[in-house]
Amino acid sequence: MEEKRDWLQMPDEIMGGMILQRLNAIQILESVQKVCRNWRRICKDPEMWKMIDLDYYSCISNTKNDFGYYSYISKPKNDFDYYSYTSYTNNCLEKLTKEAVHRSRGELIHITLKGFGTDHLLDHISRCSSKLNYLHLTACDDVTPYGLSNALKRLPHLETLELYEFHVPKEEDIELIGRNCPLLKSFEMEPMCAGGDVYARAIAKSMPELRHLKLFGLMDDRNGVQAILNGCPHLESLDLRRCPYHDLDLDLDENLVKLCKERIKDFKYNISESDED
Amino acid sequence: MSKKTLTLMSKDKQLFNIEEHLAVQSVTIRNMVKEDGASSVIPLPRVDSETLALVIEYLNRQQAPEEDEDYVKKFVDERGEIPTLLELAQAALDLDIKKLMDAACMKVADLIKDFTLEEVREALRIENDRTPEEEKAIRDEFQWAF
Repeated sequence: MEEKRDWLQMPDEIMGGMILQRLNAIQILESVQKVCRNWRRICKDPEMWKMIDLDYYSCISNTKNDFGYYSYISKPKNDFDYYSYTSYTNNCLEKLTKEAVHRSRGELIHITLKGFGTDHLLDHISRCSSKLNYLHLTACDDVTPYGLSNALKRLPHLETLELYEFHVPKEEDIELIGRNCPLLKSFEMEPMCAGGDVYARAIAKSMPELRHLKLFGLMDDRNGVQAILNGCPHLESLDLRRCPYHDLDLDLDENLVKLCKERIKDFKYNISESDED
Repeated sequence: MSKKTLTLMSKDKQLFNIEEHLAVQSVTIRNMVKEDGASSVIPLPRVDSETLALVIEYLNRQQAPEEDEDYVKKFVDERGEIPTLLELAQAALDLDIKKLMDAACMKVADLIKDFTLEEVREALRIENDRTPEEEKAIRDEFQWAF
């Protein structure tokens, strides 16, 4: 029979860079790297770990476990109840993240964490990954604004920061974020509840390099908008739409809207007007 | 006026004709044509005839540029077998046809996304080449549990 195994001699940048890298970090660590020697070697290459994307909810969506949930992470003991299982999964994910970060050997540039993570983990990432350029956190309940801004001290190259379902930060937390990341070009924030207008001032004061800003459901008054216009002269995109459950659009007078539209290529403030994303 | 035709030869010595203006979507072939006019048969010693037939089918597509992305996707979708896709990716790599290679690799990644260890080995016909000692070392290395 004709041998059909040429692909095992595929160059690493194809097998690793084009195929295996597209897989979930959990799958790589839990199974892909165990396939054969060659794949294990590829999975240790820092090139594989420049981008890490870990999501609690996707990791509990593979095979059905004993709780009727789906999980890549199998249950170690039979007497686990749901809560110990959740905390066990969180712990596993934290360890997996550390292993992935370790393998990047300082080359990590892009990381997304969803549904898990702690101040401690963020601190660890920041100590190992000074080249980090992109950080996205969604629903990381155990990451505090204080822990985040502290970790950012060690990430001076960060250009994109996205915080969703995040604890409501204080004004000084935001300012500290800006001071710690002088190159920040894109900032998106949607806290767990609206926190008023204090952010605009802090952003205007500390993030002069911003090109893109999205404060979902955060702005309350026009002074904030004016402050941002003054403080962030390079803005190309500004999204101040309120959360869908707010009834009212941001109350801006015509002149200010006109000014924003003149200054900023992509300006959104009104749900009804711009629902393309 | 007849268009210029090239002949490609697979590793099992089968010959395939293709119009030159279509064949030069492959950067490798384009370079060969530039260098020596590629008048004779172009040998592709790593590509078997089944795979080459697929590549030729791809190169012969008559798609409007704006539909091309969809076409490539559909083209690889219809060849859902992982070994076929990997052969295709390998051939596209050798021939330097970037779009086809990207699509084939992405499809493979998509297919093995939810596979277990054993399923991956089976689908890609890879044998576990590790010794029991190495197996144990890996198990010890990855103790996520407390």
